[in-house]
Amino acid sequence: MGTTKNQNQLERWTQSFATTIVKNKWWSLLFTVIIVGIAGAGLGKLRFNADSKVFFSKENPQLMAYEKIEQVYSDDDNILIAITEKNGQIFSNESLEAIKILVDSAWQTPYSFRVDAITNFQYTRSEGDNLLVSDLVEDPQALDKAALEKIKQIALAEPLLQNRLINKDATVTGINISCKIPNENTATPEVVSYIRKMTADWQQEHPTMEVHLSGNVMLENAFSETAQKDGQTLVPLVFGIFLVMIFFSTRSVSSTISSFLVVIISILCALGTAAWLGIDLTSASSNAPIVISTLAISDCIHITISFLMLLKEGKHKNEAIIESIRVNFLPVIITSVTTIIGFLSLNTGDVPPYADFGNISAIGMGFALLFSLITLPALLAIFPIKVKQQASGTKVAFNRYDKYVDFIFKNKNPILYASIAITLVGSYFTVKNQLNDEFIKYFNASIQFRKDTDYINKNLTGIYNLEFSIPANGDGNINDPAYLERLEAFTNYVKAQPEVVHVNSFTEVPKRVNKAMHSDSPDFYKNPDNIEEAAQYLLLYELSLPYGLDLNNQVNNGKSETRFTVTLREIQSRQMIDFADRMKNWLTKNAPTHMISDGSSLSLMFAHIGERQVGSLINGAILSAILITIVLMITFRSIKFGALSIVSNVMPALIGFGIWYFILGYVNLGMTAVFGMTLGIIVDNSIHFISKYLRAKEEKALSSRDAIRYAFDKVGTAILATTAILCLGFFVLTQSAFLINSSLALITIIILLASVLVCFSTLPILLEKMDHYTLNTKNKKTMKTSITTALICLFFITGLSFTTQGQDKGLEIAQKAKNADLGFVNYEVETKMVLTNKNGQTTTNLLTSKAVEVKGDGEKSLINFNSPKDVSGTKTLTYTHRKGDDDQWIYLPAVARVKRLTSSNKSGPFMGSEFAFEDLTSFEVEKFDYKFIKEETMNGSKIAIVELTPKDTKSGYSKKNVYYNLDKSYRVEKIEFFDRKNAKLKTLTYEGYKLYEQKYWRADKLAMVNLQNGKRTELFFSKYKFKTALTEASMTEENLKN
Amino acid sequence: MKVILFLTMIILSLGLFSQSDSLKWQSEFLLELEIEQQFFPNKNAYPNQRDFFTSGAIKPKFSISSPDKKHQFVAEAFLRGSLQDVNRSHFDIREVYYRYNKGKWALSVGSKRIFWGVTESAHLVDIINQADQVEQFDGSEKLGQPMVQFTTNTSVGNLELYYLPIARRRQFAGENGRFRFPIVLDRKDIPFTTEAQEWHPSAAARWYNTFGKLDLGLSYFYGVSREPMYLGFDVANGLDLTYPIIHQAGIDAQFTTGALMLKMEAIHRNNKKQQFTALVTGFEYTFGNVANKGLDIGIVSEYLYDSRGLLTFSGLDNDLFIGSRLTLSDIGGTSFIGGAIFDLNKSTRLYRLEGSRRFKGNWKATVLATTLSDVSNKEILYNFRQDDLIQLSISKFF
Repeated sequence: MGTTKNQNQLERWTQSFATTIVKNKWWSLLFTVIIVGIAGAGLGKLRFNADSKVFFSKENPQLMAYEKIEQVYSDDDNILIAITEKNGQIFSNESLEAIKILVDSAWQTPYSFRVDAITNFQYTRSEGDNLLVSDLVEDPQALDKAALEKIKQIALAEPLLQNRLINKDATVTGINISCKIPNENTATPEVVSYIRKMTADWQQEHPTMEVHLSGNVMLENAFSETAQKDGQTLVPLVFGIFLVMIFFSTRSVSSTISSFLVVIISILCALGTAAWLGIDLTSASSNAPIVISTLAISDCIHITISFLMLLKEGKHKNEAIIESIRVNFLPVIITSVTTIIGFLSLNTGDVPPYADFGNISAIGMGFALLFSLITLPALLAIFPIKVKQQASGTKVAFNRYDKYVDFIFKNKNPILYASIAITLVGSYFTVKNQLNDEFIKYFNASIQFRKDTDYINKNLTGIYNLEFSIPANGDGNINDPAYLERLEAFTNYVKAQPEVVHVNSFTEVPKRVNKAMHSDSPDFYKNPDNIEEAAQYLLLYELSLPYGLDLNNQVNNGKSETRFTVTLREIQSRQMIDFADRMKNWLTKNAPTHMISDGSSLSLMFAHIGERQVGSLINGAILSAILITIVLMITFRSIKFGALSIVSNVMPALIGFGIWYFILGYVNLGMTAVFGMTLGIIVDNSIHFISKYLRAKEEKALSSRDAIRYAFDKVGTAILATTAILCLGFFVLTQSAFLINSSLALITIIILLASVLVCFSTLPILLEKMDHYTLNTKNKKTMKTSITTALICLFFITGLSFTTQGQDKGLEIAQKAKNADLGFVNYEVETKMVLTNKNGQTTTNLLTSKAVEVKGDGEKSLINFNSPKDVSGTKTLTYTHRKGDDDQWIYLPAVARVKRLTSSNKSGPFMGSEFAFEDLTSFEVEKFDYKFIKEETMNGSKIAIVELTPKDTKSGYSKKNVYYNLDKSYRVEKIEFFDRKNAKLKTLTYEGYKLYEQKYWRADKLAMVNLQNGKRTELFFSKYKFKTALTEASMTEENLKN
Repeated sequence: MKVILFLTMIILSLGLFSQSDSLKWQSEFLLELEIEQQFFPNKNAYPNQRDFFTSGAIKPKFSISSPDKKHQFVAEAFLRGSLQDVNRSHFDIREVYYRYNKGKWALSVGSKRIFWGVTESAHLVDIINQADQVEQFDGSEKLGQPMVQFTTNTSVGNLELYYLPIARRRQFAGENGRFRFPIVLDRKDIPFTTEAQEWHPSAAARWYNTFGKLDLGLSYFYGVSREPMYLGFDVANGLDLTYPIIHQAGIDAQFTTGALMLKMEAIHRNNKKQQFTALVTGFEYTFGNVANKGLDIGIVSEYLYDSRGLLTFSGLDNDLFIGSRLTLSDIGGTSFIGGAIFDLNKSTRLYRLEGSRRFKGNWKATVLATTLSDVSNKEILYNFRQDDLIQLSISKFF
């Protein structure tokens, strides 16, 4: 028989372990109490974080852009109150009076600093030669019919109001409250409850008014309220169902209580440990308890069902417990390990709450494993348990599933081919699922926020927006007619886009003021003629604005940038990204370089994040699938069965997502986590089944078919029971109003059901088929297993570091320099490197370089060595990242080998030259700290000198001074390098700049002089080619070889 | 000779083609001429083995690719003439292939050299090519392998598929040569185990991907073993060596973090008579730019395991490799590589030191010394116990 010594050892060890637990049941219980005490003490620290920004990691580029706009325009959060008069009479004395009252009380909102409404709209006009600015509605009661009509006309004609604070039919109007909410847990609920009370009171006094509330304060509130609602209604329900279901499948009160206790303490410990680790709960991770409990139950059910079965067969209670632990020990451990791997794979994504969710669940799984192996047997031993013993112990054992097994083997070919066909069809439709992350759709229609937002979307204005901050060419230059003219062209272009509901652009202001300054003559509804006039008008206008309604939310302090807000119709996230790209493209093509800027907004952030999350999670899922397969190969000591299990593990996911295409057709952020998560859960089924099958073959020497019967008999019930319990648990979760959770739950149910189906039909057939191909498998040494295990552990060691640094003018310049160079897509260039030593002797190297921009990250560059001839054909591929270590590969043609190199060796000389590797890789803003030194004039150009300090301690420099040419798109003219002892080391000068593609400055010659050893290296560039066929995908390891 | 003629014709016709095209095809011709002197200071173990060997080599390489890089043709040949060892004088077409590149995928037809794997002291997963044993005793030189190769890079990793119609045999040193067995083995002396002989087709697949700091590769090979299977030695029949039909599954992984690289390669190979598992794993750590002198010092240590034990053809069944690489990053590209392999349950030790430097622009000198000490007489390496080597070679590149 093939049973190895190792396995026997393990069995013996397990048996003595179980015996110890059962003998020292009270000690085990005490141990449990201590663990729960320590971990549970953390619960007091548990916090809930509702800020929607938690969905983004700190270095997320879109978040950075978004926060910049927030900072510059002192604009953080808003609440939009939409008001509908039931008779459609907004412009009546009563309605306007009511609105004015509401606006007044809105000013009292905690943390608010600005309120915008039609009543306090700053109506600008001329009175004689003077500029008159006043509230559009001053005393509503005093208005006669004509005045009301006039106000209506003004409001409807005003580009700043229409489709923003008033709809076209003048039936719905809005009040926008801007707040600066501190980062405290209580602040958002405080604001929301104030607003709700205020509007409710107001509505009582004005019964004809209808109110709808939206805005991102309400969004954040909805996130936390939904999570709370789930916590208050769903969680208790889930646990009720679990209690009932466990009892139903075990039919034993004591077992039910024991299992349930294990489940509860696993959750408590997981949450407690999370709190100790400083992980906040979020709306995404608030469902971790339910997930943990479903998985903990699966552990417990397998153990208790075997235990009860053994009792029925007539075994003594303690014996039954020990035997049950013995047969379930390995499967339960493997199940837990694989599930933990599945959950940890969520860390590969870019969305911290889902990483937290994965980590909390993984911790919970660890505790569930510990408790189900230590506490559960102890509890079972303590509680009195009675079962009816079966008359004839072993004979009946094979009966229950006999008919079923006969059936599947009678039809094995049709079943096998049908399952292959179903899987293929499933995979086809799996790929057809679209990605969509509209954050409003995260809430289902039962949530008031969703209803109100939908209403506002339909009747007043769009709820999605995109913000730009468009720079002019220097301080005060927003008044430059050229700038205003371009801005207006952009405004007109954006307005013409089909998705756009409203554009809030600064261009309205100078035009309106200009007209007012010329006796309201419509001919002057245009930009002022020159910059001085425009500046004067703007100053005049600003002075006329009342406190709280100034221009700070539209123009920055230096008068060098203006805000540009686009309000959009409801669109899918993919279209959102396209729209943002289209806007930037227009600016790139039609506006001067300094005006180019990226759009940002919460909705765009959600759109981007979904896209990026998927890529990394697919990798995570593949990695965890491979790791799980390796773990299984080691467990089963067979490549064959390990490989087989991957079939039964992946098939359900493909079938599940295939079905999903017909249910919803699109996947969101939450669901991208499903594969990694369910993989762990569904692996359970195959592990339990295959391990029982192998046990039957080895211990009982049964034939394949009998072994399958045995496996069915031993685990069939447990698999069905756990699946039923898990499905019911997740079914409760489908009732969550938070779509991310409900869709996650629904797809999990589908996949779980598919998994049972596969496990009960395809798997047994494959197992039997496989037996025909058996070679002599068992001839392996234990050593390789232990080494491989150790290695897997080694490979798991990963480090993450997060550093964020403050900002400064230096950073701004460097960022602008980088921005000016962005968008070159790719280029190729021939490089001649001339090395000159102290005595003037020269050596020449020839290189070909190619570089491609990587969207959202650094750059990939490939250097091909042409001369000296002995290294000809050698190539290096460097992938610079904005954060963290760069990746580097080298291709050695003599042995046709690609090697990955450590990137830490960046300070060493490149081919004996005065250039270090770090001097030749692309510049990434995130890798330095900045200090602005001074501005000066050099060769007639304005130069800014910025000191750059490398964040990487492995850099060869303590700092470098970079000379940016402010007149020429921030191109670099010179760099001074300082060594680690802060002595001046080298200077690099850029010569012979040429402009390529009308945008990108490239020097013909770079001269590096080493001041300490007198050596010199010059780089001569020729044959620059931009925008070639080169793509990021063609810069891979594979392409290095050719 | 026919092959050379054929090759020349292809090159000429391509050359003509390139001139007639308005867009330029990019071509490159490289030639290396090498003179090598070997000296074996120890007394020969078997009759007729010499101590001094003088040889020369010619290595021309030609490549041409279309302007859009879609079409590529590469030809590389190798010719060595040895004054003392007939078997070492040999000609080989290292590469001659046409590659069609469609961006997402590429197809190559012809003879190629393929390298798989990550470790330094042994290349377990690397299996496509036969070793050019007479050229480099450690198997680092390879014979060209005819193949149809399909490569594709997808969002879920890179995939390479191979169809290898023919298997090549290893050549061993001749009667006068060192590194040989007591009996002079000729290429033809090791038989194939199939009726199709060398025409038994082989197939292989490899998937690899990068997950951040982790590089992972999985490979599978079916077909004629490149490494002869060694099943023992008896006086009547001599060495029991054959080229069996094998299945081999391999995994290779490298985790790169900062200056540290953790590496691992493992294979499982089986055929009707033998199955085994082998593993190499270890680390490489680089001290970069030591003392700001541009000196890079790499430290490598790897553990080698092979479940065949004494039947391991390479002799590396339970060994520890410790080595170091010194790179001066100077104009001459000076570098030294030194290493030692210790057998952990036998006495055998193997040392190797190699240094190379470029001079006068396109000249390069290489010095190599290897020594085997306390070789256990149980190992296959025992046959080479007297073969310590000092070698000097000088190359000129055109």
